[in-house]
Amino acid sequence: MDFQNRNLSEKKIGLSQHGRSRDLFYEIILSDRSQIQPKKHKALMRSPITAMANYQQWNQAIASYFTSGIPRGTRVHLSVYDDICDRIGEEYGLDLSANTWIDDFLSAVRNKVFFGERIDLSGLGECDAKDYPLGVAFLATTVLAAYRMADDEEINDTNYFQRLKQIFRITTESCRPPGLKTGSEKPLWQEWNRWLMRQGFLPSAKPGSGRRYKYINYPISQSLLRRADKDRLCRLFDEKQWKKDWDEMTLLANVRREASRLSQHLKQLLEDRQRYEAIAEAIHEVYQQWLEYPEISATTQNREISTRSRYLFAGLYRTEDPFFGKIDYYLYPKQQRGPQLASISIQQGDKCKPLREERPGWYFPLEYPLNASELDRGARYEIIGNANLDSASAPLRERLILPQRDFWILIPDPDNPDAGVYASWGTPPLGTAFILLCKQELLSDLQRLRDEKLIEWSGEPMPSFENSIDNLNWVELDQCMVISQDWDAVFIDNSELKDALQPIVRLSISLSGGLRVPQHNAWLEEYPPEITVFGFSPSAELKVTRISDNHEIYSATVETNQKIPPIVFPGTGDYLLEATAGTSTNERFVRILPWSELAIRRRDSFANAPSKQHEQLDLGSGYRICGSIIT
Amino acid sequence: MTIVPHTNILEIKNRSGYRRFLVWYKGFSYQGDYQKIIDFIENLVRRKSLYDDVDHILIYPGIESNREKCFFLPIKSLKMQDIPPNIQEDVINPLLKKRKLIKEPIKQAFSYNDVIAWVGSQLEVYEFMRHSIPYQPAAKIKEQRSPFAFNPQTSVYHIENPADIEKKSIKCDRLLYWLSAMGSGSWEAFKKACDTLQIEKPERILRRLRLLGHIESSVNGKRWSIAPTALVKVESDSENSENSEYILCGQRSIKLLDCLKQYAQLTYIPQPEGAGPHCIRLKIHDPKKPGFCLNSELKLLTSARNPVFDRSDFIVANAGNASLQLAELLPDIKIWQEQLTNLSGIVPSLYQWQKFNCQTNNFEEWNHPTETGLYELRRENQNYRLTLFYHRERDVWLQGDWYGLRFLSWQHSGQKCLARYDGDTNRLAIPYHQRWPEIYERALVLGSGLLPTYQKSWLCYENAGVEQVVLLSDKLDVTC
Repeated sequence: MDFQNRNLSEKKIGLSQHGRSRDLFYEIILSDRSQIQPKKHKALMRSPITAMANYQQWNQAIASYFTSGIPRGTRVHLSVYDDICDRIGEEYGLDLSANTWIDDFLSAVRNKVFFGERIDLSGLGECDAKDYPLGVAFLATTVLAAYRMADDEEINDTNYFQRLKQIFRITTESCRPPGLKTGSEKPLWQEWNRWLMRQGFLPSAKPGSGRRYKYINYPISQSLLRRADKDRLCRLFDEKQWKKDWDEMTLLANVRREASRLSQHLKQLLEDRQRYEAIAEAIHEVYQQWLEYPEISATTQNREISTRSRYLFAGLYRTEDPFFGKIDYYLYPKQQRGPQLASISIQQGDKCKPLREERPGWYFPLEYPLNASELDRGARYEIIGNANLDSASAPLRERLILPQRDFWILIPDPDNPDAGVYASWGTPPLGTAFILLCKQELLSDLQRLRDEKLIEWSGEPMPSFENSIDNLNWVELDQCMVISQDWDAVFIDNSELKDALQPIVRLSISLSGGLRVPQHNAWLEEYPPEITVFGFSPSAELKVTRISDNHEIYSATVETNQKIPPIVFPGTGDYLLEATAGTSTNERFVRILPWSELAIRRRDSFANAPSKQHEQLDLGSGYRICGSIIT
Repeated sequence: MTIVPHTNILEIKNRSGYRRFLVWYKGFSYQGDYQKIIDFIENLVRRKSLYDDVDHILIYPGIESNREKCFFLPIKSLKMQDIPPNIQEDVINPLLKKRKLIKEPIKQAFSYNDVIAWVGSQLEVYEFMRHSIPYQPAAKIKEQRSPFAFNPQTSVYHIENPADIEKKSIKCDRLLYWLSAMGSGSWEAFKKACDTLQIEKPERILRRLRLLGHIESSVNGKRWSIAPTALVKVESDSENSENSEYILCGQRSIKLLDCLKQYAQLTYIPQPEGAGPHCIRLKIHDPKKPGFCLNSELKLLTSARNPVFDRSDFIVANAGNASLQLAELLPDIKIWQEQLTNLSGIVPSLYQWQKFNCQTNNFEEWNHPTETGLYELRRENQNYRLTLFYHRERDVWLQGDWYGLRFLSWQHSGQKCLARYDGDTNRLAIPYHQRWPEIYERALVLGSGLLPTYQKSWLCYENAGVEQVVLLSDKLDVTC
């Protein structure tokens, strides 16, 4: 079962037609068993087949969930908590045999990793036949322990392992659970990090400093909100009655304004620039659930509650006619994390258009450009679901929301920076020029930041809707760039704007040029990427290592903020790039693929006739041609 | 972060309030050039990114006094004499190891006023400036060329060295593999890929790929998508229909070609001058081979479930004799002209104009577009040019492929359009300056899978069936 390539509707339809989810499940297990290496047979024998399978299925589902519906390049946190287990169990169609998904999940992990009364992690350090790292489900339980720590609980190994032992129902006196030797979980985290990089994501799990924090920091760095934090946030939403179409960043800015009323742990999270986007997403999830079920506590276990939001949010997708200079902004629907629903359409004006995936994390922009009024006030668009879907098990999203914002940061296409298209693809990487679309009233704040030499832009602010007489409210700043990191002493009226512009990292590795292989985070042999280390130090140490044999192929002090001379990659394979400047580090994964590995891009359908995704030329008389195929 | 005036208190403000630190100074006596001290400390600060901790030092050069030369390092801590571990480790310890420079640390802890009192007015402050990312905005991508833009003066290519032709062909093959993997994209992405592969004139390669049935563009040229893989039947010497020959159009990959080799004999024919990807011609070994299915009804040719490839079975459409079908379906030139996109909103006074002269085959300066014909318009101080056909009677500006618009220009100039056909060799020759609209030319190219060759002032198309030639020349009002 390749979760990455499946979509929910196909699966649901398939299951409802055959009514044999359990049969399918066993088929998968049996087919996978044949591919298990001999040394894993010991593990197979010591646990019942069902438990073994459950672990593998949970393992794949968790890995898939945290890497689906998000753009490549996203920093991934394995932030597992009870609701997420419910969602994963529900959306991946796993069998529910206990009372709750979380009980099923923990039981599967216990069956897999416990040999007698002791934990045995041998065999989890590798990838399964579907190339998922086998240790993910176990690591998820270690994050769950961090999630369950109380608000006022001091972070140390004694308290942390106490929670972990509760999860595994162990009552021993020792600090660590029996069998879980000091540092034995480290290889699993390293494999998870490497796997994420191979998939094109950025890892976030890292060790702590000091003996007591070294290994427990891996799970703690993944746990974004604790259970107590979520309840506190819901109380805040209750008190403030924030019932608005806020997106993640607007909500975060509002929550930060109320930081004095929050717990110490939440305050620390809100100040954590490194995990800024992930925390914003986690708080937004709580907010969405509160909007849906305001009367129910965020941490209440209730199987009737859908854990998935019924709303999709949209960013902006900006195009510019190269000749006439006309600028258009389009709705750019963002996917939700996890498997995607197929066959949903958006009603825009009098037309209903199906949503199709443009790239991981995003659907194609909608057909009609936005007007200034929609941008000013935000807007909601109806989502039409697939009638074949069982709405009880797969809740339909009801609305696509364009949030009301005072500004939009539009960055060049990360996969193709020269395409001339800008969109809400995230925070601008260091050294990247972006377009800031904002309301006129923000110009004084922006000028202040410019005077402080924190940002720079080119030319004068330009009206965004030239032909719209009554909408001169929006302007564009072109070629905007963050040039300094000294933001702490500067305060502006719009704190959300500052949060959004202030750099999250001090050092980053930028890969440009070469010939990219779409969807694979790879470059083709003979056409590797050009490398630039961006940062606020004049130089950085750059090291390139071939992962297969840990061979260092490049190591030098490089000047930051300019392309380094081309690095010769000795053949195809996976490489790790590491940049260090002072205490700042950054890593990137680069894969060099042979031409023979370049595969044809598949369309939605296996039928090889031109589809709507193909450009076609109208021949008149009802005929069209696509390449050589006339239909 | 602010220093409260006239105190030694540093306040670091965050949203949960202020945190107060005491700023005091650790003194050291030194010998030699004070610039060496500055350089050494600056280097430490830069390497360890300590700009938040050590943003300046106070230096007493000791020039006019007998007092020992000394300098003072700012320390931020909760109380005097408390040195944060990172400052001890990253700054003070390395300093103490520089015995040629540093004589000894001064035991006393100093406030700023203490330092002034200690050394007097000769104190110098040296600030360590944090490095900024230089603001170097990339030159804004302003389209220099439209995918429809051509300069007829530079369109004839001449490469004679076979090795160079092969190199060029391989680059084009790679481009097609990459486009097949991409599926679709923008014109800018296409150009960028050409640039990376060092393929010149991307607008030409895009046009050739369309002629060869590999790719399709949107009407405005901004987007492209690769065509599905298809086999196109071509006329061959073989009378036996079971041994028909095909050319491969659309998406391709090395794996697909390896797979097809199991069922067919593949011949790689370079395009003239290496101007495009190899023409791949297939002769099916044995149409009855298990796993192979050429089904005219379903129009599908599927590969076998080869264990190597069964993860993504290849499906190849059977496009039939696309050359003849297209020739039959295409409208005549007048209807084609009416189907072209009309670009509204052109205000002539906003642009500089040139009009195409069929006699000289070149554009000439023109004041104002008043006559039917092919025009190039340009905005002042901009390189971007747009080529449009103006139809005076209909008062419309038509957008389309460059050669197609030029062909219209020829027809409206009242001059005859010619072609020559050799039935013995199935070759059709068209005057280079009267090149046909692209979709009509595609009907010719799909007959062989080969781009035309240049023979003096003629374009020669191979394997052109008499039926196609008659149909097309009639529709285009060409005298053949």
